[in-house]
Amino acid sequence: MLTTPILSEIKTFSATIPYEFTFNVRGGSQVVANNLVIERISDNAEIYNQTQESFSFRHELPADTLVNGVNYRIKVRTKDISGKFSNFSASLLFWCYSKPSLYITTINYDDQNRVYNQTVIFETIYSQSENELLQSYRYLLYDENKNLLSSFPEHYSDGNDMLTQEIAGLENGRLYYIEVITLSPNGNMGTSGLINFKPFYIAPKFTITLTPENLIEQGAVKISANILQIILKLYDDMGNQINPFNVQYIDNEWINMNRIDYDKLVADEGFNILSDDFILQLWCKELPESKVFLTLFSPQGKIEMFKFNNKIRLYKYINNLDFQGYYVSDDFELDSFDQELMIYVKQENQTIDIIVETL
Amino acid sequence: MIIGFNALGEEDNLVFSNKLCHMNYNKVEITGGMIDQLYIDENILIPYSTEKDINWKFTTSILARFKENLEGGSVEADNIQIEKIRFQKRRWDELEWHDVAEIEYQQDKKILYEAIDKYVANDFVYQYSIIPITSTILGNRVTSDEITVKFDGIFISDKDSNYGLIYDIELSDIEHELSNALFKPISGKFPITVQPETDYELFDITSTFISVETAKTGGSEIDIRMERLGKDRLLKFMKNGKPKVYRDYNGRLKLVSVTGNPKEIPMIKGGIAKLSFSLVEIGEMDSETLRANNMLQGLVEVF
Repeated sequence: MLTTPILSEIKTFSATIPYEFTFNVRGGSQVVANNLVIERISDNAEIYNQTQESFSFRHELPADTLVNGVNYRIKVRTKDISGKFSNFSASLLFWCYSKPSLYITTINYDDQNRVYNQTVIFETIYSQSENELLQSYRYLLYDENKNLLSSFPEHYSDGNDMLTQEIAGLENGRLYYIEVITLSPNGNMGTSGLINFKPFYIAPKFTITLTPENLIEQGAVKISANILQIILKLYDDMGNQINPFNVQYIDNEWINMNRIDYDKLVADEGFNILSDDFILQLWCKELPESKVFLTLFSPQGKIEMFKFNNKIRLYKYINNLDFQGYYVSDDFELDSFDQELMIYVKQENQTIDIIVETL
Repeated sequence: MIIGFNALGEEDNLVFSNKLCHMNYNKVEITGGMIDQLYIDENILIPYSTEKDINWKFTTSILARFKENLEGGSVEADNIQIEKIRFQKRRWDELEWHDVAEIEYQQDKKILYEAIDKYVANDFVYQYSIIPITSTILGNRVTSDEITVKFDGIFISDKDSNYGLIYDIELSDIEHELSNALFKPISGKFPITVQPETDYELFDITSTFISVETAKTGGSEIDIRMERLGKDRLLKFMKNGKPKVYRDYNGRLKLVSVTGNPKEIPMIKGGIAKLSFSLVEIGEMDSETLRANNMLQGLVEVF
């Protein structure tokens, strides 16, 4: 006597690959075969009806028997050695859908899978062959050994927009893996797989010394730092500011202001000399002849520097007056045109000393 | 003819100045040459040297080195704007850094950024550090020399207030509350102990409150009005129900709350009184607990 089999839960699967249905039988005669029937819900048409001889409670459906994007009903019955069939199991419904395709666009696959920040908003394109809508997604972050570091919260989305997730605190140069997993309303699960990536960025730093100081009266410690960010601006010969990331340097330490396309290099925002006494030092080479190479602007006038006849000359102007001061360095001899110079200017009590040394 | 040059365009060694001055400068422009480094400093006492100075000082106006960037200040951020500055500290025996304060960076302003760390233990050695923060990147750390904290008396503080008590301090015994239980089963020879995780301290402090005004006179004159106002301020602070940081000359540093009833014990001398409080430890002194209790300046969210 055969008992009625019970079908196991069926997750949404792709019809293009073989699928194994499982069921369970409690007691009764030995099962020698099973008969599986699949019908299409939309028109009740019988799509599949096959008997497979097997002692196990499984039935393998060949690939491409069904079609993705279609809802089906399934039932199974078992057969004993005498050729008698059991009753059909209760019917279950299931969907066939292709696995979704998930493509993380944030990673630069052409540049060693890099991302260029410490805090990155990852974006993933969701697509599914049968245009199945998405229900939710979740990002998972793994370390270099593929151990899970963080499982980010589940987000709800229909998949029409990018699947985004902000991840902060990524260490520079460290290898990570990221995975996006998705779930559709029909139970179709998708994964991007573990995609490796490496953060690559320049971390800012201060060039200051930090000095703590005991405040005995307050039972506390005071820490103070003199911080000022000045980003110089480089303008081209058309008067347009050049993007700082596009500025070219020579040997990682020179900027060539003799280039025709580099008109002027300006420091204004954040720059201030709040005293009329100051020292200025410029390490440079290949100074142009008889052409102003440095100007200091004041609300009351300006100071211009230029080279002429192996001397550095300095003009001081007061607004609405002709130039009102002229200073000159001693002669200096250059061994070659590209020999480095150090120009030292000291303004004290409105008089200016200029020293030039060849290096 | 240009002044200073003869008709042949050669210099006639005339150097002059009319002593009219520029009070300050707000822009520098470079228009020629191959430039390696530009350095301007308001301190004219810096000794003359051809060595390139790479340290930013408070008097420095610009230090541009053109190391693959156009930075001219005390920040190397690859031309990315700094938004915040975070101060952190650690005790000499710890590896982990704890937050002290976070300050918004004031663009274009030459100011001294200061943080006061009130949560330190007397005679303990600390090291401080500072980190620049852009909108998305936590920068590299600059560390300070170590400092040994020195103070007298007792201090009780929160983010905005700091009260010190230094006269006639009486500290009670410190009770370590463990709340363990002992069960004596009838059938067993030995008892069963249960060790819960509870572990906190309970203690009392008593001190004579003397206002700054009275203290200035060396005790010869008592400013009754300031005594009253000072005591009221301290009592209001102690009764506000918020967490506080307690630290004393014995090197104890605790996150506490006031329990029981604060007591004011008037002394014979008019206006002077002793104040007495019972305190209970309520948490760790780490960044996370302090941040959760709103005890850190500028640090509300985790970066």
